[in-house]
Amino acid sequence: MLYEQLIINAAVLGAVFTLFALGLSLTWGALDVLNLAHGATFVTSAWVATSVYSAYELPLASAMLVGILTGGMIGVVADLVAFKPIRLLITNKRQAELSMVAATIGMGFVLDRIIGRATLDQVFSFPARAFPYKDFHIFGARISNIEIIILVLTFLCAVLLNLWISRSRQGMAIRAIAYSAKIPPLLGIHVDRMSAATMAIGGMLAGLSGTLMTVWVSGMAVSTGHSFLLKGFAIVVLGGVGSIRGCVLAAFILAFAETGIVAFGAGNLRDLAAFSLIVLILLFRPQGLFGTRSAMRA
Amino acid sequence: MSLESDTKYDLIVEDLNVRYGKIAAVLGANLKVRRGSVTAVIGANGAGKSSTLNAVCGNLRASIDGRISLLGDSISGLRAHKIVQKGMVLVPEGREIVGPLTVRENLHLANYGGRAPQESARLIREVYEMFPVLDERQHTLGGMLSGGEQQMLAFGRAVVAAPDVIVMDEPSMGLSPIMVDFIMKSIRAISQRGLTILLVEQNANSAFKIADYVYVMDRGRIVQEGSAADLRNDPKIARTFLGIRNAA
Amino acid sequence: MSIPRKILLAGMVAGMLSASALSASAEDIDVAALVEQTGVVGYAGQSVWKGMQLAAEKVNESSRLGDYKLKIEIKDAASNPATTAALATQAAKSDAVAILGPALSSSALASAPIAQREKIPMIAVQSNTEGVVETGEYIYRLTAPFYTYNDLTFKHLADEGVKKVALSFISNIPSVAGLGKDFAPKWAKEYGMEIVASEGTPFNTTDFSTTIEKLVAAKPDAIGLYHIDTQLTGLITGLRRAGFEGKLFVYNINPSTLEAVGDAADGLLMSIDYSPAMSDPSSKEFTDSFRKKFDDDPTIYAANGYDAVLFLSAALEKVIKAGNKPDRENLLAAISEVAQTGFAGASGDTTFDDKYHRDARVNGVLVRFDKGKPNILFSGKDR
Repeated sequence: MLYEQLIINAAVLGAVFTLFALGLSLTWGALDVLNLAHGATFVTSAWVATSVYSAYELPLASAMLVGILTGGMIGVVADLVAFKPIRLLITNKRQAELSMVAATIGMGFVLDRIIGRATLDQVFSFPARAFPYKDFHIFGARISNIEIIILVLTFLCAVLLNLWISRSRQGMAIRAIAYSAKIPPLLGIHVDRMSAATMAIGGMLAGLSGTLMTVWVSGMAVSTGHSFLLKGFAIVVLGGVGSIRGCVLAAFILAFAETGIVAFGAGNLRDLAAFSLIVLILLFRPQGLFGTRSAMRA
Repeated sequence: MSLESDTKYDLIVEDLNVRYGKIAAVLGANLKVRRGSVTAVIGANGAGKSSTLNAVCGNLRASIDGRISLLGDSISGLRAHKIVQKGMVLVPEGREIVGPLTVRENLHLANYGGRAPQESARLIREVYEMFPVLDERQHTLGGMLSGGEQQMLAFGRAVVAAPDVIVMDEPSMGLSPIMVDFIMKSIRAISQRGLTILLVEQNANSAFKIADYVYVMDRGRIVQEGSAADLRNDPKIARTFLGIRNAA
Repeated sequence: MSIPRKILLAGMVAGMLSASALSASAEDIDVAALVEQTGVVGYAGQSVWKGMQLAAEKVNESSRLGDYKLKIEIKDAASNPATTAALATQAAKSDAVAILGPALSSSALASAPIAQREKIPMIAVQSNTEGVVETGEYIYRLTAPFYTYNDLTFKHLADEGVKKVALSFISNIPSVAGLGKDFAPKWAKEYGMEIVASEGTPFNTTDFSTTIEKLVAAKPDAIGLYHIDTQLTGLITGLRRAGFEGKLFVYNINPSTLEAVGDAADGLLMSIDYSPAMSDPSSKEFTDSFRKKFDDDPTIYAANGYDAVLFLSAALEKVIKAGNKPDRENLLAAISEVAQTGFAGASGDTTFDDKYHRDARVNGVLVRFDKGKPNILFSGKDR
């Protein structure tokens, strides 16, 4: 077994985890809401992409774009329908947060069942001919074009998101909202609009990782969303809520841990060992690798 | 009293009632803030001053009744961020600086949410001219500033939003006497730039030093009003608020 | 004939005619089908129900049950053991003479004790787990366990000169793990092959890049993938992309998965109990009539459902022809008799195990998928 191959495998896995977890971290850090519908958004976006590809015979990239936009839309709908009314009606911050998380659970469940019904809980995917897989060889190991795309897109997203949060004015607004939801309105910031925008971005990231994942493993199902949500949650906690750098690092740690365990140990222990690692790190650093008490940072 | 679109007054508040559940915090308050003036509201703790200010600026979750007009437009029922767009900015009690953002970022953010986001460079430079220490500490995190520096930043945030009216809630709170002095002078300077200022102060002495017009609140009601000059000489006011025992 | 005698004769004829007219009205035999239409195995269950409906139609159209008509009422077991158990209790209290289903293992384990206690015959399908028929004499299972025919793959591999086999299997579903950990190594040994790699993975894993690396690195001639469909897509495509050109075999693959992997599944081997390509007369009859009725190829689940009803009907026929009332007790006795002799169904000749005589056994076939279409390489009959 080539170490180079293992590294490539772990890196691609880490990239897919990163894309997924970034969206979760963003909304959790900025809006103080753990979006438990993120996994369902991931799956639904992929399903929409595969469906429009087959139904309208769009080029693959366009179908994936539709999927990504669907993810964004789901985020906005969640914000408008669930978060905004709760923010308006419930004054107690703690209570509001809990209610919002509960709302995301509900939304996730509904989406799950809709897609589950539509797919009979079976695997769905783009047809085999949709993407022309091509393998390249570097360092004696194998990497396919889709894997290169995943690595590049993840890098771009992480860098752009980082830049946006740390440099742009909307990024400043989001960091301010993450610090305190009371101050931004006094500065003229439209919190509802920023909240919807954040959820849209989070949703689009879920959609991007969902569609890419579907192409990478040639199949997606409702159950994949559950698996990713759990790992995404662990990654965000490990990296420190709201920290983009932490999120990326944690995603790769998990991916490498999983890969290492499967490669050198027993495959059936992969989940157990990976999560044990996370528990261990949190024991010594409960705020996560890059976590601080509050707020978003780059 | 009807709603006047009187160009002399930037802010007109009529019959303001603020209720928290069953508790009435403000009862039938009427205020008029003249353009370009520094208008102060003084009163004991719990008199309803803060509630009045916050209600007027859309920053209060309570039952609010009454008519509020800003520059001739009704702003009753509008939320805080909309009121900023209409030209009135609140400097809240306790400054409420965004800790994890730097001084520069705090200013940029306030400018972004304000009425002149395209003039960020000019407005921020003006703030630095007014408060050179902010220029020096541009890249310091807001949470690392001293109380006085935070107050300056809070003022700066208000100024870069390019408002017509700035409302200040207890600007001297928690500051040392030297700082209080400086802050009051700064308020005067801001006023001299043509901005209208409405402020609430527990420190009546300071308020009287810079105010043109004063409202006195007691237990939710406005019990007295007048020019600062007149009210300063009122024996009751002098005794109650200015600690002058032997006023004539 | 004198007039009084004519009248008597006429009266007798009239009486007999009316008597036969009365007895010509059919009586229903109520059967409760507890089959998953939603949830994790909803896909399979919906197929099972189709097979059951087809069989019921056939039985009622023939006159096998005399004046009786089979009336199967379906309730959604919802892939939920608690729900299924509740439905079983309900069925036991109703007029139903038998329970058909469920398909989910955990639901079968939950409802079998109830059927046994209430003394109502239960014919489960799929439910590949231990402990179902062991519950008691009222419990039957119509689907032959994987391990009774998956050795066919190994026979074929041996015939093809395969020497080294790598295995990947689900570690946390006992029936599948059993295939990978116990049976496959046994069969490999029997046929003189070596297991060069053996990887267990939890059933909710979707990323297999490292597992694939390990399997390929062992340089096997054939790789066995004992996984569920959500995992097969990644595995099959991944292995082919990793450059593995040897044989691949699975224990089951659904049409949608085959479509998803496309060419990568060419030459894929599968030992299975039923395939639309089977040529046994009873199989062909099932396949043809299913295609006619549903305009689609039947799945193994439809075949199981069909066979369950066929099996039940054979027993009912016995009871009725013997002039007995089709109640639960008589039915159980008849079921037991049919189980002794076996019957011919969608999966061909079906018999029952040697120990309990309640667990189905079929010959099985070895299928190879060429361009997505199944081809029977050989049947278990020719073992």
